[in-house]
Amino acid sequence: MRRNARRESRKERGILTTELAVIMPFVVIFAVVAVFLVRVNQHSARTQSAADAAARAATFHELGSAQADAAARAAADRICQGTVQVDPLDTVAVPEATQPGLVRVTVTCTEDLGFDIFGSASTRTVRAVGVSTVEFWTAQ
Amino acid sequence: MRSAPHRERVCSERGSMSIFLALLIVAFVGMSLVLADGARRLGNISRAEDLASEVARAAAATLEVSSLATGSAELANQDDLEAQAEVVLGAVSNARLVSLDVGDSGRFVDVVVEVSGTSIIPGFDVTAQGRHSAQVVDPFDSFAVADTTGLADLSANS
Repeated sequence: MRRNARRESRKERGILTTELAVIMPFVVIFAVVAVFLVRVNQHSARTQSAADAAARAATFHELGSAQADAAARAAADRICQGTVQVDPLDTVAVPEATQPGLVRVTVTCTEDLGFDIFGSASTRTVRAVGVSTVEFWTAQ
Repeated sequence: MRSAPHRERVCSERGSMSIFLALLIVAFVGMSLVLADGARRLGNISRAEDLASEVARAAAATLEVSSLATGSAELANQDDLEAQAEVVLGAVSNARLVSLDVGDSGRFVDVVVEVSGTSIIPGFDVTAQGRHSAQVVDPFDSFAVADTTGLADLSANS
């Protein structure tokens, strides 16, 4: 009986190592995928922030002016960590004497997520829309 | 000579690792989906807060024309404020105005905005609400407006 038990325990030696060796690649893959998803989410959030900042920066200048475009581009450039493209500003509502105006900015941010899979760079392009109010007294 | 029960015991453990791995993979995928939906909901909360602040600013800057003749700024009526809020929200997709309330003193506007989205997990809700308040700024008191004649003319002609 004792000899059988000893033979059993000898056969099971190394099973845990084997199990760990089988599971570990899946754990590593899961961790890599999780990090990738976090970076994707951060990129989307940064693009939205860039669009909001660009819209807000544009409201401090005369709507439709080159300064407003330049301010929007500079604000988006500061936040996006890659290549940024700002579409021409869209004045949704023109500020009147007692009503505010509204500026809409579309920003496209292209970033490298740092996951070079099979030799090709992992760039991602996201488009976001930001809006900002123009109080009428700032437009005067 | 080995006993039959011992041989059966050894054979019955084969394939247990495959079952364990299958369950583990299902658990990992499920956890990933929950994390992804949770992140989207947090993003919607942040977006709703940002939109609520812009809507509140727009509403707080929508003044009653006739009040300018008295030299002070009062908010326009509720319908005009909500129309202004809809102009802001109409410029972005998947957002709607939940409520817009003017404070008792008429100096604050409180706005709640909802941002919606579709979730990956059935039954999970990623819709989020954001709230923001803005103070009405009196342009006569707070800013050195160079020429208020235009404003007075506008109120006289309204």
